[in-house]
Amino acid sequence: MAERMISRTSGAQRLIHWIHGVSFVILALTGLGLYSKALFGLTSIFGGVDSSRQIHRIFAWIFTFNMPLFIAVWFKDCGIIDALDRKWIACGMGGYLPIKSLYSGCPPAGKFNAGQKMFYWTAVLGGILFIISGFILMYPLGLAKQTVRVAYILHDLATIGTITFFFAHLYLGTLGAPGSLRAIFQGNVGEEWAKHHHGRWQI
Amino acid sequence: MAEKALLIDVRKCMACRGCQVACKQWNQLPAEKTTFTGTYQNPPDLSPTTWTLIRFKEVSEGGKVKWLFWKTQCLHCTDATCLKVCPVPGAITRMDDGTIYLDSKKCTGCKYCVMNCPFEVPKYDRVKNKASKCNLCYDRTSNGLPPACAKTCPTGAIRYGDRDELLAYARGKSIVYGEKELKGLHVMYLLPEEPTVYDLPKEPKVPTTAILWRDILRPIGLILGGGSILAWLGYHFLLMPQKEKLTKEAEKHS
Repeated sequence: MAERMISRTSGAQRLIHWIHGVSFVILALTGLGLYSKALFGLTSIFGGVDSSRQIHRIFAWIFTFNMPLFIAVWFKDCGIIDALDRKWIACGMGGYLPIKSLYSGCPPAGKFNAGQKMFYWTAVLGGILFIISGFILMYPLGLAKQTVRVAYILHDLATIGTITFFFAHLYLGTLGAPGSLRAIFQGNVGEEWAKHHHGRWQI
Repeated sequence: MAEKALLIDVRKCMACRGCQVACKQWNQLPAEKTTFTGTYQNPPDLSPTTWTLIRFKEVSEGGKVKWLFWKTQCLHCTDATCLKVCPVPGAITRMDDGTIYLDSKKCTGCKYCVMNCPFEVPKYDRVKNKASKCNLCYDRTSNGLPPACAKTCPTGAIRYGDRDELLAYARGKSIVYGEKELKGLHVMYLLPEEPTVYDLPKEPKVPTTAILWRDILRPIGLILGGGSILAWLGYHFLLMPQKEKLTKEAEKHS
């Protein structure tokens, strides 16, 4: 008998996630080329600096308009970190870290575990920082130079913060936790997977 | 190649503005349409098509009025902020004679240099989407000719030559600006008054935000980004098997 599939994400959540994710990757690839001379070669991916810049600006608008939708549609599942989530974190991120002494009394994760919730907040706060600093950088003429200089630093901080954790998100959604990927594509997951990874989730 | 420099002897300048014209002629820069605002200073500021400008200032002192004028342009700093912040390899280069050369062809119009120069020199052209500034007539100096402004100056207020020789000439005559500022400027001044009278910052510095941004934050970002990729590869191949083992053990006991 085939395993029971549980619906995990709504159509809206998935669409908005993918607009967010694809925009983010394109923004990263077009932006990192100007982050450092060492990465300047990335500008060739989109045909040079000028086209990279144009594409970055276009996707900046897409990312910005999608941001409030993203915040709203994922808040219920990922926005609230409760006491059991904190215990899960203290437990070596729910057992992801192989530290033997932490392998007892680990509370099961809820529908989304604390790591995923922390990433939601990283994406939201990073995204808002990107948008504010990014618009200052897109339209700097007329603003005090010191404001623009600080915007560069904030834009860079947002880059470092989000991209570093983005690799974790990428890994854990694919190789790190097999069976997870269908949650964000088909929108459903196996019952066993759900019970194993998210024991507290009322399926 | 020895370091070259320009020495602007403000004591000898008579504000004829031949230097402004020669610069435009040599670099084929168009004239700008301006309006009269009560000063001979024209155009009002450096711009994408005005790479040198004589600034005018009237200062009242003890009942007497002093009419001051001085030449401004890129000061070709040794510790050049524009070079530090420019993200395009080859768009801003330090030449072997000390010239800081901005190649407008390679410029991508990001305006990092415009926003960070402590003297506010590079200017951005909205239409062409490029920044530009004085390049010390590198195309002339690399062929043994002085910059256009130095060539045309009728009083000898603009002298071009070996930086050491110009400094030796200037020292002791009056206030020298640019000997040590920003690790040495390649356009120096011989001033009859304090630099601040000529709106020159007493101790010009690379902006702290630029240092924080390029020298500190950028390498940290590269390390964290690259480190993150390595960390997850390491986790997958080294730590994950350990974690699976511990999970199985914990499940057996429960």
